[in-house]
Amino acid sequence: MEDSTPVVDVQGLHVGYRTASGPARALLDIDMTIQPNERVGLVGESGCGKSTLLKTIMGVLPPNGEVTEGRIFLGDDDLLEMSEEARRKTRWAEISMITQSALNALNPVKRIDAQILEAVRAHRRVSKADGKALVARLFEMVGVSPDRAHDYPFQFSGGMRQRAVIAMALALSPRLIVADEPTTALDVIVQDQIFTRLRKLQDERGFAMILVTHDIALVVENCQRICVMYAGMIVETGQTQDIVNKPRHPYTIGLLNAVSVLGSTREPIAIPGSPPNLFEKLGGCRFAPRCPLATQLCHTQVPPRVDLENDRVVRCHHWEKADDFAAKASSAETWAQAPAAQLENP
Amino acid sequence: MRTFLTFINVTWKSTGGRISLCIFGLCLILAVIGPMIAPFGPSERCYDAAGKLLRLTPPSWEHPLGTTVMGRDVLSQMLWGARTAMLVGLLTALGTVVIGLNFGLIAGYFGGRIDAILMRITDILLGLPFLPFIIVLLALTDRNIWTIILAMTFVMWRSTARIVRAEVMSLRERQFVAAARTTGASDADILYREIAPNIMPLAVTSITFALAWAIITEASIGFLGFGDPDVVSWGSIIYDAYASQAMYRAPWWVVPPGIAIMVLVTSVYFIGRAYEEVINPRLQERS
Amino acid sequence: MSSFWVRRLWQSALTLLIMLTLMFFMFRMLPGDPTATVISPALYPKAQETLRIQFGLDKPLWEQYLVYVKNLAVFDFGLSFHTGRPVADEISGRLLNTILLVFPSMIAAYALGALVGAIVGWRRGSKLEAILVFLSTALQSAPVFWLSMLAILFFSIRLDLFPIGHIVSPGMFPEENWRMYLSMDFLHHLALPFLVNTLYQFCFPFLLMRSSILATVGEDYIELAKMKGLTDRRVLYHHAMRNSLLPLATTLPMTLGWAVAGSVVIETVFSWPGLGLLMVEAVGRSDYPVVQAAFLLIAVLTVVGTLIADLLYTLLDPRIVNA
Repeated sequence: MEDSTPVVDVQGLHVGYRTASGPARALLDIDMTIQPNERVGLVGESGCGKSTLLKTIMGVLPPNGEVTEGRIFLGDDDLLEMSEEARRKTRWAEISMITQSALNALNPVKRIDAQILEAVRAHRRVSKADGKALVARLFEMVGVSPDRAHDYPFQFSGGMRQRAVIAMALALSPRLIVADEPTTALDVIVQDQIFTRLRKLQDERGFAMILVTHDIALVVENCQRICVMYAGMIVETGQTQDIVNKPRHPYTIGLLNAVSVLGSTREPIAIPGSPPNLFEKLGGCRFAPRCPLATQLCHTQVPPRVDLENDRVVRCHHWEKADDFAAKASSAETWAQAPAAQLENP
Repeated sequence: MRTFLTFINVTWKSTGGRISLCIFGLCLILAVIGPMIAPFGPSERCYDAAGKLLRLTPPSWEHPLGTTVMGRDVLSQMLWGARTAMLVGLLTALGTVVIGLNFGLIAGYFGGRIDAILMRITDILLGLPFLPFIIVLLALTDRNIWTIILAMTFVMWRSTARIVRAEVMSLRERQFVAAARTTGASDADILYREIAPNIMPLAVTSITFALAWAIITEASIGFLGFGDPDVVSWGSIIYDAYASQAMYRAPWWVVPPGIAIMVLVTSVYFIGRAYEEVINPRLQERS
Repeated sequence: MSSFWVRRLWQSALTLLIMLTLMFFMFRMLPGDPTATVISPALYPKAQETLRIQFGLDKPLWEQYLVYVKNLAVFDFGLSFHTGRPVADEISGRLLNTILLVFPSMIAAYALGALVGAIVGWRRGSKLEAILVFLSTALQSAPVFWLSMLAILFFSIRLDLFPIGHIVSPGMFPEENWRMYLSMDFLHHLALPFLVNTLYQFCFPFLLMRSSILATVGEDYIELAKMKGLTDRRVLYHHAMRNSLLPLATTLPMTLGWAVAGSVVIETVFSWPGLGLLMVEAVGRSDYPVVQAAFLLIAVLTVVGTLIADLLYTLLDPRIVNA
């Protein structure tokens, strides 16, 4: 798998927003590689820049957003260098998306089949009969009766809408599907059905997938590789097993710690403090204020990228102390040593 | 008073709002002192040195906006007209908002039967052709300025009531209302002390719309010849010009009142918009 | 679906009934002889007496009311004080003239306003946007009769492009008939009031569409439509604009009502022989039966216009009827 060309290769990406309160740096030096047929999980708290990363890959940044540095390769072509028309042709045909809230993502006043076929027709000619057959096939794939294809979104339940959105994402057999919190609005049973369905479809059709979520448990269950994002940076990436067994970044340790493990009596511990605002000038590690391991160095110097064995990357000055820290991480006192926590309870 | 100050403060923030407030303030001042500084009476006839009536004379130093076919000074008429426009506009807007606000509050708060009846009334008023109705009313009664104000108020409160009602219905379910209720506040207390202050921004926007509408409608009534015969309004100046068939020969007579109406009403619209953009963040354009 | 329409029709009928009841009492509450607004005081006493019996004016009020409603139902509005002819004859051609002036210009104004508003809102922040927003607000603030007069002054008198007023040239069609409406002469007369009215009515849909598009731009389904690889124009016309038409459509009934009611003014300036001008003239002559009939017809037009606009709305938003 390591030898093949990646589907999408993000290199050194920086993205900023111009806002009324000044420029905000939303993404900092993002590197991310997705191999064919791979499932990569992108985890982080809300506001960490997950959505900005997706929007940049899809090319739908709002007008005040701007890529200041970096490249996004789709195969051999840099998406950011393409003409607008060439870029448009790659959308959905090469990379499609399963959106966060299917209720708002489907246009409420257009029939679902029309909305799916519209995406197909933006890229190739389809006869009426072929179109109908295609929609029926897609609906069967995602497990909704094709009779319902001609309905309006409001006539669908939440789970059905999400399936319709998945059908739409599959319509052009793209190389990569980005799933942005695809099941947050759904109950656990439907959530499980949808993931089973997605994994099966992926085995059959061989697309790669990025699963974006704040729920690390979901990623551990479903993805081969994990990228952990914090305040606009990818702080750690690696194979799922490696990360779960031996997390190297204090934030990852905190995230894993915050999840309750089934059958364990351990209380989940939340990381004290909250993510920094993105307007601040970057003077060091953005996690430092919440990190019990933080030293003077962390507050003054941005941690460099450290490449470890087995495609592992971590951005922490003190990654070597991680094992030691992980052992103590399940106790609340450990976290109380973080600067932010001390500010809260002096 | 505090609401008024916030209103000025908020509107002043944008350039458009600032210019509009200045224009409106100027019109307000003219409405008060205009008749005092007007060189001639509104229906005074002007003669030249030789005692000849000054019919349709173009603008001069003596008469900066010329004279009418009856030899009246257009500038003086304009100044008197400012008072009429402001009086009619402000009173109608005030009446509209007071009635509309109360009806909207009551309908939205109590719901049920009361709401159904009040809304049916607004439905019917919405179907009522506005200007023709006022004309019929004026045809059957005295043509005076108070009738015009009353007639306009009678029809115009409908929109305010509907907007306020919708807002009250959503406010009714909020925490602070429930909290007031548990402390044993009466309905009237809740309505006027808890809910009404939250409606104020809406009422202010409503006032600007009513003001703009009232000024234009009064002008239209004047233009159609149904205005108060004893009061000069910008609409009636245009009517006189139109009825005398002289308007196409004497642009100085027709153009100024129209521009005055346009500038005043535009400033009112922009004041409303400037205020709304700050108060209602949803309207702010995402930059 | 049917229950929605039954309810809507019911409401319309009720509105009309209440309006004509209101009229009945308004015209009878005048000081002096209550019949003075129904029967011309200029007639011989004998003739007055005959009419009084015919209209049931010697009967109690509630019976008069029934007669009034019954007469309205068969379009019997009584006799004009001015011409002595039945009001129905006086008024018959006028309704069509008003419709021909108001409806086409409303359609043009809404089509144009929606399109320009959408394009300008989609490319927000342009100079053109700022200019158009300012101009249309100013235009909306100007009295329409004054704009009409300026238009006449400029286009008819200075440039001599259009006639000053009236529906056809005098003497062209001595007997008004349908042939009149097919003539170039009619179109020539229609052009200027049509243009002025269109321009004036343009402002509202334009401003509304622009702000509605601005609100749509951040919606998830617009983003998804872009991500689907649709061209920018398709996203605008098929998604942003399509959905922004909904708030526009809800205001259509209201503005159509305003336009019909506002035709009083524009018809007066252009001497356009519609209902509005008839009403204004009749008020001037104290010809009450004509005033009443003209008013009621304007009200019917308003209510019917509202119904049509509602129909349009249900076509645009499937959620209304299907839900």
